[in-house]
Amino acid sequence: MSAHLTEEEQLEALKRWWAENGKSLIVAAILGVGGYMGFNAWQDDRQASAEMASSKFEDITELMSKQEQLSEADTATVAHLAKGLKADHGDTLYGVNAAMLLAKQAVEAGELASAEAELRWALEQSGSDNVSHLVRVRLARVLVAQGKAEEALTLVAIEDQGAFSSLYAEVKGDAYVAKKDNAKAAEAYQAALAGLSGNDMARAGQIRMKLNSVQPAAATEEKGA
Amino acid sequence: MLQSFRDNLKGTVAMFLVLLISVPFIFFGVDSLFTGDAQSGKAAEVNDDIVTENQLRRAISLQRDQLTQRFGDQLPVDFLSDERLRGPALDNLINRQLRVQGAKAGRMTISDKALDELIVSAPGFQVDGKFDAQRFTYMVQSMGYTLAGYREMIRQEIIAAQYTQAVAVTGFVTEEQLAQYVRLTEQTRDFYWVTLPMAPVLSTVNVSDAEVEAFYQENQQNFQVPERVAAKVLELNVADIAADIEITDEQVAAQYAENMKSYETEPVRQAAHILVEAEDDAAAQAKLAEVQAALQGGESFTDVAARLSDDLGTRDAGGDLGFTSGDTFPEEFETALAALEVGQYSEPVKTDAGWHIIQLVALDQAELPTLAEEAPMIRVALAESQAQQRFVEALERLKEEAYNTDDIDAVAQTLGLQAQAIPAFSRSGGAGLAADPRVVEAAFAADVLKDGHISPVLELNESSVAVVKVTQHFPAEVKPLADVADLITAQLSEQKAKAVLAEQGEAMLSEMRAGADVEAAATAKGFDWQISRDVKRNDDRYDPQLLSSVFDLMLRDEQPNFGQAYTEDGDLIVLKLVGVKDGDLAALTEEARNALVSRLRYEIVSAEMAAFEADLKAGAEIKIY
Repeated sequence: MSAHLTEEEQLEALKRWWAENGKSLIVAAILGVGGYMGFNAWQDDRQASAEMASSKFEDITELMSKQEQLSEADTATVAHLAKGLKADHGDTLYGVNAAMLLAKQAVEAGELASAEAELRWALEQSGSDNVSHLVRVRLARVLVAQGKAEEALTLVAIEDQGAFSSLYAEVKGDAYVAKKDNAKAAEAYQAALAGLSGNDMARAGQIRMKLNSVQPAAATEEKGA
Repeated sequence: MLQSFRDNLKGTVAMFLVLLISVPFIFFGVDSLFTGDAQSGKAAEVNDDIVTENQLRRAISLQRDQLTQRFGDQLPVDFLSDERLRGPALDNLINRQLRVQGAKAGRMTISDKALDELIVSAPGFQVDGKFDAQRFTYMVQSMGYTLAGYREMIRQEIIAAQYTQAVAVTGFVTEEQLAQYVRLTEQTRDFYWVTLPMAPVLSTVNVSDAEVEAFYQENQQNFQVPERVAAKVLELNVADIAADIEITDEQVAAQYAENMKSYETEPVRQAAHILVEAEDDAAAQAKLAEVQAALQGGESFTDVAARLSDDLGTRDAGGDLGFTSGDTFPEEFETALAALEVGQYSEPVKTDAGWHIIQLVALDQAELPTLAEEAPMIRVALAESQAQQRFVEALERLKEEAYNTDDIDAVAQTLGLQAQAIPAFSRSGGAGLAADPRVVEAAFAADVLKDGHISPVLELNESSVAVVKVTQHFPAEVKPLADVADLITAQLSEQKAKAVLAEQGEAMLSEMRAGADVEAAATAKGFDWQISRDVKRNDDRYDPQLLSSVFDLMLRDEQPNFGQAYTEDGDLIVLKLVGVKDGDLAALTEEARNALVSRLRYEIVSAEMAAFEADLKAGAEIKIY
């Protein structure tokens, strides 16, 4: 619309343009707006669902931080809430956390098989690396406790261990201890020590203790210095 | 051009354009133009999120407040500097941002309602136990947030906390892990040990002069003495000047008189009244008569006020009106009050408010401090203020003199002061004034050290300055052999003794390995021997080096094993491990078991949490500006 056209001419041009393109423009606008609103509604729904999960999760953590040893009633409440979270919000981290929580309760009740089932489910659901590493390490411990050392070793034999390499190596060592293979266990514990950051003295002490129990005088070289 | 655009913008075309422009606002809202910390710079980028300089500044100042609160004045100033705090604070912010991102990826969130409930119930925003919107706004703004920004910050804090809390609350310890832990930590061992003492060996070794000399030559770098200077420091400070100033009694007295002028001399009176308001004088007089009769009848002022006073505000408090120093109430009132003695009440007095019967409740006659009481303080204050003046004059002269000459004693004499001699000190500082880094720096500056000038005036604190002059320069050198010979001899003796001891230890060990009886072998050589049973790895009755060696050993096929350890005093211990008993989970009491479970779970969860966060960080793209 150049400046030298009169208003009449401009209007005329606009009308012509509208007659040519009006219909498709309206259709496009309706589609666009409709799609946007639909997307918004879907997002709102997802958000509302996540908010609900959040509030249930808060309830759980509040119950659990109340005391070191939960009463039977509280344990049952936590289990109930966690089952609900897992069933309804499996696609969020809340669902994964709920499964980990149920696994913890199962371990404490001595039901290792059901702990394993919960952690396997969590492992399948966990989307991000650090969560799945965490779940995998815990699952391996449950397997070792069940006497399934071989399965645990297969589980932790993964290429990319991220920042969990020391924890993986430690549970590997535990598995070899269960298999009474001291040489391999020592190797694994050594790897666990090597993967530690320098300032983690408490953990280093623990692993060294395990290492010394399978390999005599391993730590004396450092002490001589 | 804009003008013609505006002129043309009428009618249908204009409508169309306006509609077009309004579309984005319908969907994204006007506030999208104004939100965000657009002005403040970036401190770091964490994946696609930005940590702003603003956030970082807030975090630094928060950290500083916390440190100050915890350690008070014990912290050196540069501990709290921005440079010191910046790194850790930024690290914290980045970690927090990573947690928020992890939480969001897992679709963790919090509803507006829950967020509001949290804010409303925070004690910090409450006045008298109830949420106060004004206080909330004030607090939030004083922290440097907008209300929306603050809510967003809290929202992020909560989901970040949920994210890591999940790791902690779901942590567990399997029975297998616990059993292994108990087996090792509660394990006990039985062992023989023979002590080969250092002292007797030490007295038998000889170190020749040639050996000392050779060691000295080979280890010159160990005997380096850094460059040092001896200096004279001339300090000028207000306190010293003040100490020399004589203040006469006349001056004190004059100042005392001056001070007393500003004292409040008017006594302070506490007044109470009974007010009578009436339509007309007759009614008033009748009521006043009733009041007076009651008072004369012995009824207390308080009771009469409560019963008859028309002043609703004071009658239940005995008519109490509070304090006056003579100008609070109307003149008639004050005059009547001033005439009373404590406890007395007045005849009726009329003011604009009505008729009063006034009681003097209490009289507080301000007592002037005496000259004797005030004199010491006045003396100090006068001396200080004169000293301040002289300090400024003296400082000017010091600057000038110190610039014009290199003779610090001459400068001191001109100013009537004495320069202090400071014994030699290195760049890492010395005793007294040489402990001050500014003095050290000045002494080692080129024109002071090399050219022998007096340093520029250093401000040590607001009431003290100093200049420095180097009197002697000791270049870096190697200490002469004579000074260090004893030290070297001791060191070499110890080395030799240790070697002898090691030999003795080896001999002892091979005897024991060959199956010799420990007692017999030890006694034959005159060494002490002992047997210890059921010792745990953290038993503090034993030398830690000894225990560490004992627990490093393993029994091979149930056969004894041997080892050695040096104690802190240099003694050598030769040991024979004869028994290992693993800790037994079943033998623990319920209490001990629970304590171990908590400790182990805590250790496991800490390790998991650290790995969890480190992994998150390792996979992130972080840019620091």
